[in-house]
Amino acid sequence: MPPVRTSKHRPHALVATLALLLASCSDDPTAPTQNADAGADAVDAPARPRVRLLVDANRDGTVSDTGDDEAFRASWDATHGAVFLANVDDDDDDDALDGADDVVNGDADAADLARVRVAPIAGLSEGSTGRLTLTGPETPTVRVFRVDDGAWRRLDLATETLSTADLRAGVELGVESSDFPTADWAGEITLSLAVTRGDEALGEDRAVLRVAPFVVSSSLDEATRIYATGGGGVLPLARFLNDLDAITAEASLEFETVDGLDPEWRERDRGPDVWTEDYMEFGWTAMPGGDAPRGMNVVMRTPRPDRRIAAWTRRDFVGPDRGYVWNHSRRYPTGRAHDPSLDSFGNLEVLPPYAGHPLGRLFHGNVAERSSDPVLREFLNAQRVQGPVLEVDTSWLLVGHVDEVVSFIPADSPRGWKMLVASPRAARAQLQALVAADPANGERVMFQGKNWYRPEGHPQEGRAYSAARTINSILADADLMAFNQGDQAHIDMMRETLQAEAGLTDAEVIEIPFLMWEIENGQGAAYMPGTVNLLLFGRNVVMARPHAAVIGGADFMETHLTDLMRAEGITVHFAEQWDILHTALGEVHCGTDALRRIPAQSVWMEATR
Amino acid sequence: MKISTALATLSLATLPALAGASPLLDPRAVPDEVSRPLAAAVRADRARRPDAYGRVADLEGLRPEFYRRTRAGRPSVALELRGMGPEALLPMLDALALSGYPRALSAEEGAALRLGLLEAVGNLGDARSLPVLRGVFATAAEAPELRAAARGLARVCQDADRRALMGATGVRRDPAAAALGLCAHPEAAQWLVAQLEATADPAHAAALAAGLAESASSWARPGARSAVDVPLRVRAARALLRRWRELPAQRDALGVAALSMGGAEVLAAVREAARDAPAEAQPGLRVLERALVRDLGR
Repeated sequence: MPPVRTSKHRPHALVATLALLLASCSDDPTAPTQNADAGADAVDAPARPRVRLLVDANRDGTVSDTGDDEAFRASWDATHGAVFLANVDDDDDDDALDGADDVVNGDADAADLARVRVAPIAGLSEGSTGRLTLTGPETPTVRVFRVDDGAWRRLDLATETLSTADLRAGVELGVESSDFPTADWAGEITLSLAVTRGDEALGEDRAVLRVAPFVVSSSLDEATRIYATGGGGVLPLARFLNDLDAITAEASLEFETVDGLDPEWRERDRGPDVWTEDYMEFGWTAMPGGDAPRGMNVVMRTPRPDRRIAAWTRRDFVGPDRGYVWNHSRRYPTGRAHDPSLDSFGNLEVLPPYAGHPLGRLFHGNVAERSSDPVLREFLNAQRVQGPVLEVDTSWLLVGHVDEVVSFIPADSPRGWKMLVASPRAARAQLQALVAADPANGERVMFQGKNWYRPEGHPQEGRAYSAARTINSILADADLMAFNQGDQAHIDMMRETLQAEAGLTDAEVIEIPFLMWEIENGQGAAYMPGTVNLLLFGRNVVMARPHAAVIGGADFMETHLTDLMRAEGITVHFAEQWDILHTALGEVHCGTDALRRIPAQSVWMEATR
Repeated sequence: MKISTALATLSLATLPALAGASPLLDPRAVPDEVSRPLAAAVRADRARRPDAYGRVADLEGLRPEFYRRTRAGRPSVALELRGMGPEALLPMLDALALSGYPRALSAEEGAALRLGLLEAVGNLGDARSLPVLRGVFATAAEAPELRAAARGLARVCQDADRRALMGATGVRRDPAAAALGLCAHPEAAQWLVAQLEATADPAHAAALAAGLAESASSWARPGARSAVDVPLRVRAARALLRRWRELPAQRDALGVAALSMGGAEVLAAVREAARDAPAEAQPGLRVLERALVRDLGR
């Protein structure tokens, strides 16, 4: 955080302050007066000391004692009002979140404190003292620190007062929260300072601050690091990771694997939990910081307490400027309607920014008959910048995640992005067109050499079920076609909901062809690799290798998808993941995650509703 | 009356006492007259093809080391069993109705196996499975199992079973109605349309609509392959849209059914409904129209 500016550092500010003082003595009713904009409790009798709590109300990253910082110090709206952080990172790497203790853990931690300044009170009579009070939540904990000669210590507001010397010299304070807004607390605090001498009230002032929310990164935000989960000698997993490694290396993007077999979360009877997207969600929090926002990336852990690998988020991700948040029901739901699968973060996506939602809007599969942990939704709604969470029906999907059927890409358009939706309709039409173009194409084989169950390297590999099937056989399968028409109906309903929400035209929606199939009880998943379930970084997407029929020497679906994306200025990379993800009901997006940079224009204050 | 017909219509209270017991099913679902001939058939079949039984008794989808690594994270075997094809019919009936699984299963694994077997057996459309499916349909209490059994019966669609499904009541009524879409028989389609025209019950309307959608799917059974001829499609589409207008709480389900049926008749019915629908219904009708136009444009 840039240093706090004071009048001592800025001679021109001193002039401005003097001008203000002079103006306050005039009869001009439009002239600024002491605490004129502060709350009703403000005391500004001309003979009394001028008590001011200054904050970065104009959000330029510094605290000034004039202008909007002063004028709006006790108010908060879309354009003015001070911000402080939930200090949920671990700048000193001591394995404790910085906001959980009573100390400031070094300079980097100090930079995460929002500055509040008690402006120097000239001519204050000896014996005067100041008492700070804070109106805020019981939980989380909001702490106020003071700094003297570079040393920070927590102020015990219940017992400590500011001395006459403090008040004459001015005091620099730092404020942090231990956590983000909650359903019971919108994030606002009021810090008040009352100056007295004996029983005589000399003046008081107050400042309002609001804690920055947790914001889920949009897939359009710049990726800085790609994550996937590794572990052991699982051949198909190694193949997938090798592909990701090559693709990210080509893009000069960092790639990190979480060790899925770490003893802390390794589970008996299962291999690595490869669903990286599902056990964590990356986001950020930030306050104004001058040239760039001052904030941190934050990882949100899945509400599922039984997702052991999710402990990685707390143990290994957390560090300097890397925060952590975890919200779940105290007693994890066990009712029939609750489906833990819906608490995976493949089921939490962000419609990228659009009018009225500068940080986009969260959407999530959740209906009464099949629901997620309500505490997660409550937390996300409490952030108030990407919500209320738009709830859609994914109960027709076996896994039930929104990322199975929707994703986004950047676009050279006024909106800046387009929506991709799964399209059995487009897949069927494409297969029909191939056969219409040449009846011999009908006998071409899809999924040649691929198996369901017992993949390559499995002890019972010889008992695998071949997935190979001709195009004619697929098109003639009435059950498969009826099921796909039903899923297309669900997709169309969801698509219309999202289109209406964001005001998307049909030209801003791209249908990504693949067929679905029924897994169980009328619920389906991708039959052809679900290529809409992709990883986006920059103008690159990583999609599942489709393993469609080879026509004209090339996989026709790879050719089609490459052309489709090229028309949008997007480069497609195909990753091999059939055996490790597709046959286990997921695809590339499910098996990866992306840490993304805090947007330069992190305008969450304008999005707060 | 045939035994099969009687079984299909029996209520729980009147089911006979049973000698054999399936570890996966309510014992009343597999009375002696079902289990004895089935056991004999299984004995002979197992002697000829022990490998087929070995496969059904060793399911990947029941191994925790497999299913816990899937994205859903829970056991599921329907797909795996379907992949085994017709040769797995008797091994599956054996597991379902007679022998169960060779190792102890958790409750979740047992439920997944029961459902997977029911679905895969029913999916084969083999009349040899009907006695077991009838027993399950008469005794099951869980919706997925009722659905699976009803669909198995509807897929074969013998006259008595079709009528039993049309006459189902209580918790069996709606799974039966939805399953009737698999009956490739005009009587089922006509019944679904007539019931949809007549019912005022929202849940039943949704089930009937789902059945109609499957029966009249324009992707699966276009033109002459459908048991639903054009005049009936027109009636069905109109009935669907009328219920869509009258039952706001079921609009999602009825809308999905309309789109799942698809075709020009549904689009015409949507446009017809939009002509005099109240303002509150217009956005929903536009959604349906847009999706149908998108579909017909392909």
